[in-house]
Parts: sequence; structure tokens; C-alpha cells
Amino acid sequence: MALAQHDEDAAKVLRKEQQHLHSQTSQTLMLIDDRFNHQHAEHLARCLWVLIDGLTLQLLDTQDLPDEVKAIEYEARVVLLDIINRAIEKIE
Amino acid sequence: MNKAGDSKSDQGTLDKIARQDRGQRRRQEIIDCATRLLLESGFDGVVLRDVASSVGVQLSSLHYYFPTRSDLVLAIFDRESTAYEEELLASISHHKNIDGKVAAIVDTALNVIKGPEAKLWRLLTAYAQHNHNAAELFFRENKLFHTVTARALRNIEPTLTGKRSMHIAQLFWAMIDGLALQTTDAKNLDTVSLVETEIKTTFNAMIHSAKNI
Repeated sequence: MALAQHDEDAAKVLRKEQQHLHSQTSQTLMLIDDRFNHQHAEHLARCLWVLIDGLTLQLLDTQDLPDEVKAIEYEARVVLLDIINRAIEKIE
Repeated sequence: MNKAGDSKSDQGTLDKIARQDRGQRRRQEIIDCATRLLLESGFDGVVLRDVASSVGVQLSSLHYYFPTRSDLVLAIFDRESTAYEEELLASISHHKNIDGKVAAIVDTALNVIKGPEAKLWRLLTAYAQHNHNAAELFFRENKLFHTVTARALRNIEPTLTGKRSMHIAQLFWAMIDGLALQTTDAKNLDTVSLVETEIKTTFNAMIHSAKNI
């Protein structure tokens, strides 16, 4: 990630890895609910990874107490489920 | 005091103000230059000697404003977080209802990651993974952004507790930070706008559900 800010090759690797994760997640979403089309599942996967990537950065802060981290993880789980449920509601 | 004395004292005050202004301008010039170097060459590119030479001051003069490289880097990011807070407060004040104020919080944060300064945050995020000082700066700035956002949330919705507003602020910034990392890929701008909409909906939902707890 650090290199990707300066180095086009590293940026390509970063994008490739992100696309791989998005693709895996979107396939899983389509397995969960086959009414998701490919594009919709890709968008949803990307939304989920936006939150997870951002959260990963913030949870690096070891100054946070374990209870605090647990509380944030719980909130994140609620938000992730909410995003998926909202997407399912839209196609129903 | 006689008139001549008054006039001398006034002149002294004016001189002092002018010196402070010059000092303030010079300080900003140094930060501007260091920001440019940071964006061009990363953290290793911010070398005090190069900054001094580029601004046209002696190294000793630069040390007067910023004794160490860390102080200068800190000033770069503090200026960004201060600008964010000012923009956020101004933006919120333009709206009267809760939804407008909440949208102002989202839009101000999105402006941060869409502007040229976004690369500063991405660099800091990346550098913080393997440098202790950068990690400390990263967490310090993160806390500032979370606190400013949580405070704004409590002003908008006073029923939120301090802890809850901090959690919402932290999750909100997790989404914004995650999006900032993904926006390096300019080919996916259509998806970015969809993610933005999702962030707005999610943020609204978090605040409304928090009100009901």
C-alpha cells in the first residue's frame, strides 16, 4: 500500500488484490442470494470492503482497550449486516 | 503619556503585528513546501535542508519554526485537520434540519478524500504500517477527526451519549478511510459514487438507530 502511492507496478498489484477480494465476496453474495446480479453483488462487495479496509486501519491502534475494540467490531458487524439486508430488501 | 509617547507605542505595536504576520506567512510557506515535497517523494523526501533551500531561508532559521523534521510533518497534518474542522463547522451551520447537517458531515469528509490532500492521508496510512512515529501521528490525527465528528454529532443530536457518538464517528471514518484507499483507482469512479450513496444511507441509519437506543 505504501509503495502503491509512488510506484505504478505496486499500484497494479494493490488493485489486483482488491479486485480479487471483491470478486470472491461478490461470488459469495450471489451464493447467499441468487437474485443478486453480478454488477449489484460487485458493488455490494466493494461497499463491504470499504468498511473492512477502513476498520482494519483503525483497529491497528493498540492504544484502544480490548472492550473498545470489541464494541467497534460489534457495531461494524451490525452495519455490514444492515448494508446486506438493505440490498436484499431492494431486490425483493 | 504624551502624544509623542503614544505614537511611539502605537508604532511599536504595529511593528510587532507586522513581524508576527511575516512569521506566520513564513511558517505557512515552509509547510506548503514540505507538503509539496511529501506529495512528490513521500516521507523520505521531507528533508529540512531541502525545505530551507527551496523556501530560501537558512537552515537555522527553519529550525526556529520547526526544530525537528517530526515537528514539520506534524504541522502539515495538523493544518489539514484544522482545515477539516473549520470546513465542517461552516458546512453544518448552513443547514437547519438534522438530515441536512448529517449530510454536511458526510460531504465534508468526502471532500477530504477527493481533494489533493487525500494523498497525504494515504501516505501517512501506508507509512504508519512500518514506522512507529508515523503510527503515532496517524492515531493522533485519527483521534482528532473522530473527536471533531463525534462532537458535531452530539451537537446535532444531543440524545447521543459521548461513547456512542465516538463509535459512530469511528465507523463513519472507517468507511471514509476505506473508500479513500479504493479511490486510488480512477477507473472505478462510478462504483465510488455508489459507495458514497451507501455511506450516506448507512451513516443516517446509524444515527437514527442510536437515537432509538
